[in-house]
Amino acid sequence: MRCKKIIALALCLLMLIAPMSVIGCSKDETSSDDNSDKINTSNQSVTKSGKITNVYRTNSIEIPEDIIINIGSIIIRSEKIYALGVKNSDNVVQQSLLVSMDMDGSNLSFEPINPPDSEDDGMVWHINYMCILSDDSKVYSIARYNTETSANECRLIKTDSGGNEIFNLNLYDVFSDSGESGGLYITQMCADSNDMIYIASDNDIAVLNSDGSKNFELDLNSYIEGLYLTQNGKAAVKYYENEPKSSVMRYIDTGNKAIGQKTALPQEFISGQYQIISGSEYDFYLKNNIGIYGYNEGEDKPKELLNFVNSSVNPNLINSFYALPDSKFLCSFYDIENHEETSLAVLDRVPDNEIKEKTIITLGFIYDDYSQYYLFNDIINFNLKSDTYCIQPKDYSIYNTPYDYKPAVTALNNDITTGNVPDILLLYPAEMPVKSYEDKGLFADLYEIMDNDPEFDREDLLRCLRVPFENDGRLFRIGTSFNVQTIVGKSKNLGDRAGWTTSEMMDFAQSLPEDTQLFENMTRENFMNIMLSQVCEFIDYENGTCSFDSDGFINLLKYAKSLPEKIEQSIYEYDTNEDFNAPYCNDKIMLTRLNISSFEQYLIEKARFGIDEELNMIGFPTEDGSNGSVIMVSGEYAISAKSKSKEGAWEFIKYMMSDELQNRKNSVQKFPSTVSALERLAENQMAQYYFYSKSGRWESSDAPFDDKDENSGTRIYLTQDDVDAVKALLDSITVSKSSSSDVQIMNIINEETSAYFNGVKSAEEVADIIQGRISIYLSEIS
Amino acid sequence: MKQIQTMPQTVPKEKPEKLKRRSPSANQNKPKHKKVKIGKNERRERIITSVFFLPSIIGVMIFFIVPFFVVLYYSMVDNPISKNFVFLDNFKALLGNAAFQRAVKNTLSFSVIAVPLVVLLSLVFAVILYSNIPFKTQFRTVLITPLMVPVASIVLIWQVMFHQNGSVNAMLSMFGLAPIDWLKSEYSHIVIVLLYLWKNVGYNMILFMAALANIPKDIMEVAELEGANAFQKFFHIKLRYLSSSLVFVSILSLINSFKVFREVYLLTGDYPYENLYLLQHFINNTFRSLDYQKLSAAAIIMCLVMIVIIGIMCIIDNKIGRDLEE
Repeated sequence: MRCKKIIALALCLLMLIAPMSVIGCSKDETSSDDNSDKINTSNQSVTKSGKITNVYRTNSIEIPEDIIINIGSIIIRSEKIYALGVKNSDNVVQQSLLVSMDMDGSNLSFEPINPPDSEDDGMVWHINYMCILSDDSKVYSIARYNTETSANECRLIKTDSGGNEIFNLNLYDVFSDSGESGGLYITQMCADSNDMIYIASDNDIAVLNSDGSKNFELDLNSYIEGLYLTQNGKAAVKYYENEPKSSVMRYIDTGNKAIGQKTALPQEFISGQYQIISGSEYDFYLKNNIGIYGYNEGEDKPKELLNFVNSSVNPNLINSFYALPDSKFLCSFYDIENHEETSLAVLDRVPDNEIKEKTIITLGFIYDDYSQYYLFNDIINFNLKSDTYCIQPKDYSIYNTPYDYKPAVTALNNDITTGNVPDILLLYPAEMPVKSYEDKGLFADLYEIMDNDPEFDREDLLRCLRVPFENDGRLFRIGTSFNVQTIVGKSKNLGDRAGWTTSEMMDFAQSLPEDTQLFENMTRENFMNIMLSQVCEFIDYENGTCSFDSDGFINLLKYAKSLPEKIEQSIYEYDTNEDFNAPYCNDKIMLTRLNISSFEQYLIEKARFGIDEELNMIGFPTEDGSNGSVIMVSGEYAISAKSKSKEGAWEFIKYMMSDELQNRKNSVQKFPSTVSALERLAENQMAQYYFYSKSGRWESSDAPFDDKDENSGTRIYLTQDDVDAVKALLDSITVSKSSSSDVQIMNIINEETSAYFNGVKSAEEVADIIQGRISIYLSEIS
Repeated sequence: MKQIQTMPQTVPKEKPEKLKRRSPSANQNKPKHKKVKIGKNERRERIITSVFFLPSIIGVMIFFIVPFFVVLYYSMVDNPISKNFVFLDNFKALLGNAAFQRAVKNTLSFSVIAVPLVVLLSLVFAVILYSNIPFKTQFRTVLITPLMVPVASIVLIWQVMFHQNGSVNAMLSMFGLAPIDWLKSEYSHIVIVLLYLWKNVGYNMILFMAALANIPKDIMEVAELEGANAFQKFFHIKLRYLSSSLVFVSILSLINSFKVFREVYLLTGDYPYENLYLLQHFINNTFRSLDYQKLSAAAIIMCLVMIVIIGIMCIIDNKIGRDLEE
């Protein structure tokens, strides 16, 4: 009896303790030597005391300009790094090189690799991959092709340490299913510690012995994404499996000559947004846009080794990387402006005690085109310039899947409600409920911050970035660049009015002759896309009501339905290949939808309609007939009202508004956001020369187009009047776009109108349904 | 028509002694109720018992009680960011919100139609399948099968059937009737009610069949001997014995009626046709826009309504079931 009681009590204690030990297991293990006080948040390396870690310094390697080094095939031997390179020349035949350097990138040397003895058969050859075996013999995968006949050959050549050929195999004979000549492409090659050579084509892996004899072949029936060697010399392959419809990574079982069991690397890192390579100190190295991580079999998760932002490295500019011994990395970088140019560097770790302490400011964002290249660069440059503050990016898009983009916003909302909101948010209005955040007091009033900053006046910011975004006299978000969407036509056709309503626009459209289009390629879909760019006419956000069942919207639908579904032949008299502008000049096309992001683009439209014509940028229809041009902002920032480092956050935003960044040329040209930068843009573009050919080609140059034939086009100059016209447009804007509300409303309208266009329902029925659905939506958000 | 007697007494019962009324003075002399001392062993037993209860209590606290109070808290603050206490302002605003009103109306009307229908249908099927009809096993299998079908597959089938160009409209056009946009018209409720019935009748039927099997056979035999017809046997005996199951199935069906949001969401998305906009749509959408105060207030209101409804059902069940116990 007593024994039973003891057993019962012990069981009870076990039941109590067991859940607590599970809770204890969730504690994060930190990733550096200083484990005792480190907090490893979802994607940052920051200690409790606010010190950044996992910092690497970049040591550039000087490479002659005419040499390109491929670090996709790196070998480490005897404390030296070996790689393949190519010397560019004017000849078609390029000189292949064996590149060697010390582990710190110094003592770079180039040894030419000469083609194997062969007939002069017109074949050009190129070394794809190389591996070095234990006896210092080298194995090359070579592609040979004939530039005239496009014949292709893949060979595997082994040479000894003296450069003498040991074997020379035709890889078409090695791969059993390689098909006709020209169908084989070698994607990767490596050799394990037993000198077994693994060669991967698109779908197959051939495993050869060191003497070149074929050991076995694996037909994976799926595209091979990568071939890896773990620390213990085992080979693994990553490919796509139909069951379970995802990428998997499996070992190659050389004993059974088959594909083996899965590696222990967690699935989220295999099918997630990680680039995987093998290296010297870990089984696998993983790279995302936060850092480089090392993973060994049996561990729960990878350990962060290098944090890009902390190391002032832009991850989006990394072409390829390789893990060297002693925790170093060899990286090849793109140039941010010209991706054709690359550079090489060795990254080595900075000891934690040498890292300067700064105030950490978090910046939350969702990965998009803007952030891809420029945000990281801007953050890195700010961190380098600032002695006091360090911006730490937090990418919420790591929570997204390829098919679902909502988890990022959910994760951000969770952080907001638990008090972990980032100091700065890079807003993504299409997905984030920005208006909801504003109304709930999530953001700090930027006007207040500006007014307390003697270096920045609110009037320095363009009016169009203030007025449309003011909320009760306060400004909660600030854009660093923008463009404007509007509708433009000739003043002589549209008059001088500032804007129009939908019914006025419909009347104008219906008054046009039969052979005249309102917009080019005026199909039903194009028209609806244009008209739905600006739906504020039918919505009263303040009162949470809408009027999609109004005659205005119904007439709009009916007019859209009268348009063709597609245009099969040109209705123009003119051959537009010879005179692209003729339909516009001759009033056969009345309007165009303009996405203007510079003064030059206004000039292009002027040239289209006839350079001497006055244009009216009348905008989209509005309820009251005012100008319905819409501003679309990029790089929109807000500061958290609960941030403890508002000054630091503002310093970063001010840096984004600085002349240096506002005036830079980039591939995604947009209007700058400050008055001074806009003036500078106008000055620069007024100093340019422009030429618009009749075929529609636009050219700009610093020099006059004296060599151009006047009959082929027109020389054009940007005048002060043109600049003033654009500035007047910017000053007239009162509506911002691309909020998540607009996206939701657009989706509902697009979904329902198809039933009307297909003749299933009447315009009134569709309008009623749209009215009902959007009314519910507006009631919810009001 | 003969009246059916209640349970015949085979053994005469001793009439309980009438309680004698005591005079007030007599109460003073009434010996005071002695406190029963709990022995050491019993105390130890109680402590050990409580300790065994603790894991369950902790689990219920963590996953039910504490989240409920968190929801209550959020329903009384202005928003999850500034968290200023506003007491009942959120409830007032919510009751005036057009989207919430529409959601409540649709949810209530759906429940009022669907729940009685599913209870009635499943009871009818249970009674039919409980009797000796041919192929009853096969019929039972057919009715239970919808339980096993994944929701996404069900939605797919329903979309094919009730699409503008689906099979139902094809049948209608065979009879010369105009096609109906089932999911975007006043008939949308019919689609969802049918879906709900199709999914839930089988399970409820099983519960009723189990309850029917528990009715004492001797009572039915006596009723048979007394000359009761099927109607009388069902309404006066079976239904009374089924009362607890009826309450249970009704509560379960009511809860499941809220879960139909899942199918509606998959069929029609975040903002469906206004007749299909349910309370869970409102809660789901306001969650995404960080309006926790709205959804919490809505959840509390829903909880109170459910408590009232279930409370009423339990009271009715108590009244009906009491004489059975006697």
